Amino acid sequence: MKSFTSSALAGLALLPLGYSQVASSPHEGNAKVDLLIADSHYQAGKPIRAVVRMIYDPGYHGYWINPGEGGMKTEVKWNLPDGWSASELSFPAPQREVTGNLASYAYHGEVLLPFELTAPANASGEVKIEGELSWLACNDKGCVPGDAFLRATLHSGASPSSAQQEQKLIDLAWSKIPEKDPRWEVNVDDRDGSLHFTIQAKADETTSLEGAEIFPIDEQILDPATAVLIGSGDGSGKNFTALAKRSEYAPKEIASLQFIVHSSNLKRPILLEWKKK
Amino acid sequence: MTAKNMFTAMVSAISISISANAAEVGKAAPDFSAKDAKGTDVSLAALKGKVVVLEWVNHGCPFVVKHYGSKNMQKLQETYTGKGVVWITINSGSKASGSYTDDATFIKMSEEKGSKASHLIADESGTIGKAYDAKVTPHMFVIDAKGVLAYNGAIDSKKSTDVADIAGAENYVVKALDAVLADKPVETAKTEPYGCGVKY
Repeated sequence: MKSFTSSALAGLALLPLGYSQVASSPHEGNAKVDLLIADSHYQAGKPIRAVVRMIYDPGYHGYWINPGEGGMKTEVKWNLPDGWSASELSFPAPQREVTGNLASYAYHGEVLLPFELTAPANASGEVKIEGELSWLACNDKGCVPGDAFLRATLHSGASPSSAQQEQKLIDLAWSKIPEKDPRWEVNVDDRDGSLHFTIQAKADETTSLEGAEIFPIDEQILDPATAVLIGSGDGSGKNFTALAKRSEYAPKEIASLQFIVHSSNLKRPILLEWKKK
Repeated sequence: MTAKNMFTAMVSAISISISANAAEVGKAAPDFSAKDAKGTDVSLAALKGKVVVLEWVNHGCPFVVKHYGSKNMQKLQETYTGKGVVWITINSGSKASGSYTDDATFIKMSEEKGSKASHLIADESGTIGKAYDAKVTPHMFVIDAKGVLAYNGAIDSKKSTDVADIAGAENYVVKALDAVLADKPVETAKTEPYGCGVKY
């Protein structure tokens, strides 16, 4: 891990505000960063919800879990007390961004990256949570790396008060994270340099996926230069199709693919996975 | 720009020529000829018999800063030019993009960073970059002694700007060069390059 005294690091001290802990970093890496934790107190063995909120400067974009060509995924390296764990950051649906000759999956403006902190069963007393967030912000002229030092102090026991505004933001963040949905079945046919998607609704599903976009979570499988839009398929409202160009870096045999389906018509993005039989 | 410098730049721009071949691993690398930043003629055809590395650079890019700030790139240049490899560092940034460096500035920046490249080429027109489809900085190519493209892709396996990631990364350029110099096939001959987009 980098030294926290690095000049690129933004100091980020958290102040307890009822159930939430909120702080703003000095402005670094063309983005403003806040850390919000749902509770200033923890209970042994139980998770606490939290969010990293990033606001990119106008004209700049940051990257999704699959950054596409160029770019870099936003990551955090935690330094946690013994027994504590943090889940990976979760990412909402991105948008396709073409800068120069590179196509990527990106965010503009505000993006909320939720995660969970979990205390071990034997946790007690005051604990310090520390982490280093790193990201890349780019515009059409260039890219700037950013780092922020995330820090929180949590106390054991019941919470003395609540801060509903932050709770709402944390709920909002989680509501936009792609979720597995067993009502859909996927088949992918890999032929002629393209991946032919068929997404089939089970009998009780009436949602239309027509016009929604597919974003691949796995890198170097689909070519990000072309949007993958879902068509009406056979018109039955049950079988939807999409055509995607293979990435020039895809392996000869594609064994599996995780992807999300996103459109403004869906309550939340759908997380789907295909495995070659 | 003085009249003399302008003339030099014009000569430099029109002196770059290229063959029509696309850059494809296993096939003849696109030929090119150009004057380097010091005014020396560089021609890929004339370098047949030697292993050649092409490295795309933009010293304002944080991914390039990672590999130069850590001296990783300079060490590679020193190690492999010491083994007879010709290392050509190319900037295909256009004047309009703000990434262009004139020959004198390119030389000065490279010297300040301790570059051990054999040649620096300011490819302002993007002619060489587009022939190789150089996408990012750093984008790396290895050409074997027969003039065949042996590697096209990233410098290593860790897509990040963090110097600490260099130690644990698989350096594809080292593997490709070691294989080519030993007259063995390159196992990983094509990877997705990572970095900042080349500002054509």
